[in-house]
Amino acid sequence: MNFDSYSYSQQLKKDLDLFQRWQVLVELLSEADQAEVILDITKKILAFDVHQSEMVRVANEHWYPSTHWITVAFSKLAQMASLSSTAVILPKMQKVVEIHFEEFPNAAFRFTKAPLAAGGYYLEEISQDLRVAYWDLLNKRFYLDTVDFMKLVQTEALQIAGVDALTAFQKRLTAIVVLLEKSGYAIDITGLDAEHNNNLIMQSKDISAEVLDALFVGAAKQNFVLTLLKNKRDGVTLNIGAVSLEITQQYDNQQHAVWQYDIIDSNKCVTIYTLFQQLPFFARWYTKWFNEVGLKDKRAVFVD
Amino acid sequence: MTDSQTALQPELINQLDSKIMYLGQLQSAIMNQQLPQVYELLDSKKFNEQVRQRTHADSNALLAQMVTDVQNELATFLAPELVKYLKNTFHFFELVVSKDEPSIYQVYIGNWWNHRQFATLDVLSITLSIDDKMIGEWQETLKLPTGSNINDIQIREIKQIVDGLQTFLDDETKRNLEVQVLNDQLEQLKENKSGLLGRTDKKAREELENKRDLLLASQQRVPQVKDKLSEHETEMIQLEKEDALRHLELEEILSNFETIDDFIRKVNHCYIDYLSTLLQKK
Repeated sequence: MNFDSYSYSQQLKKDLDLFQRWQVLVELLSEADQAEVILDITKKILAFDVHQSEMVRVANEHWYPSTHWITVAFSKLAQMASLSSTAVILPKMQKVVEIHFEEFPNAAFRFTKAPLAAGGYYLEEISQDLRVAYWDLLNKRFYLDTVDFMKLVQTEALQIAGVDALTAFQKRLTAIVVLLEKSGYAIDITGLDAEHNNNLIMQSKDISAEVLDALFVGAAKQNFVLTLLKNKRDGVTLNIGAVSLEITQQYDNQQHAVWQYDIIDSNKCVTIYTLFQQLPFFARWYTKWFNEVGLKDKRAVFVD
Repeated sequence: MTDSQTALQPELINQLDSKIMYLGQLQSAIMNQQLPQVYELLDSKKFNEQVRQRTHADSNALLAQMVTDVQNELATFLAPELVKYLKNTFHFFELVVSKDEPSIYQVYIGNWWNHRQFATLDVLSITLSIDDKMIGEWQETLKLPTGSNINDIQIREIKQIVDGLQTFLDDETKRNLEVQVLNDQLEQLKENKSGLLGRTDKKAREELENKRDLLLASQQRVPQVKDKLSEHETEMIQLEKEDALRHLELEEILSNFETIDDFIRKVNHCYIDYLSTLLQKK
């Protein structure tokens, strides 16, 4: 076979050009300090196909999958969104970095691919294998997994860190979401934003009195009293120090009772997840009656 | 005019006079916001005997009958002050007016979920008809060791049943796996059928089939067990709720009164206490 040195050099040049474009993207990501720029570059990184290169092959130990880059991008957003520090650590023999948030020293997070036709990634806490959120850069969507997040806040790692850490983490996630929202994202972080803690709708309508009986009993065992709401509002309230959890119903057009949670906290720090963490009886009740009282979220994107 | 007419006329005039006077007094008492006087006019015997401590006082029931058709309006007029007094005296009372009967209030203890009706208040007679069953339950609870409840034994028994049913349901995955293993083993026996070990195979197959059938029969009970579990859980919640309600009621009462008897005495005395308070204000 004839060896065409010119063709060889041309292909090599193509490959090198390709890698130079790749290098520029990675450098831009490392330097980016604005959400819009981070999101734009990350999208390009995820779409970039280094395998177009025919001659220059990527050495395995220096090659990282898309989940790595999206974790890096998220860590940058997380850093921008909080005064607490964010560390990005690449464990030995791993191909995806871990994010360590200062507020949760015993927890580590990373992204995994969502098994969906639409694509997207799950932000997960690694040791507990519990999802926090779904992030779809292409279709601009960011959704909180209310089910796993409820479980996560009750894990030992997050319990040890305490309320202030959880508050800081929720604020950080909320601030990230604000950045994403500015970039035209569809957002669903039900219950996470302490500033907007009303009208958290339950999954089921017309829930039976037994459900509230169970909460009343659980609360009473811990010396909390589930009291009836005044001001002619139909529902109950649980006072926890200066914070109140209200559970109320309103009738929709079909005369079905729609139930919702409202957290009344003048300091705007406590969310329903804080209550799950601090009030085990409330979390137990929520889990037991989840089909009725669970929060409505974008369940369809969370596939096991 | 006949003689009898002439003879009856003064009596009739007297009767009409007393009715007119009664209505006039009632009208004036209402106009001047003299609530004790209104109550006195509604039942002078009770008022004089209980508030003024006059024995064998006369009844004005016949005169009071004249205003039976305006009882709802009278109740609406009298209720606010009485409700205010009751709320001050028993701050843990929740009073809810009956839908079509302004003179009747349901009296609940506490403002908690599922609070129980303790009494019915009749605004016009200032009587609180107490639920004696509740009082009996409180007294029974107080006789128990601290922290114990009337339904404790029943709850413990149901809890045992619930735990058993839950264990059965938790074993569902295990049973499914066992059925799968038995099916595999039966399949293997079928494939190994050589004819030489026919009798042993048959016995082994029967044993495996029996085991599998037993497991399958257990699995078929799962929906029933789930229903049973839910039934018992509901029952348990109701019993726990009753205990919790009694506990809260007792806590409220005993943080305001020395004993249950003191509380009941105060409730039964509210006609005299309320009207005496109003008279003192004058």
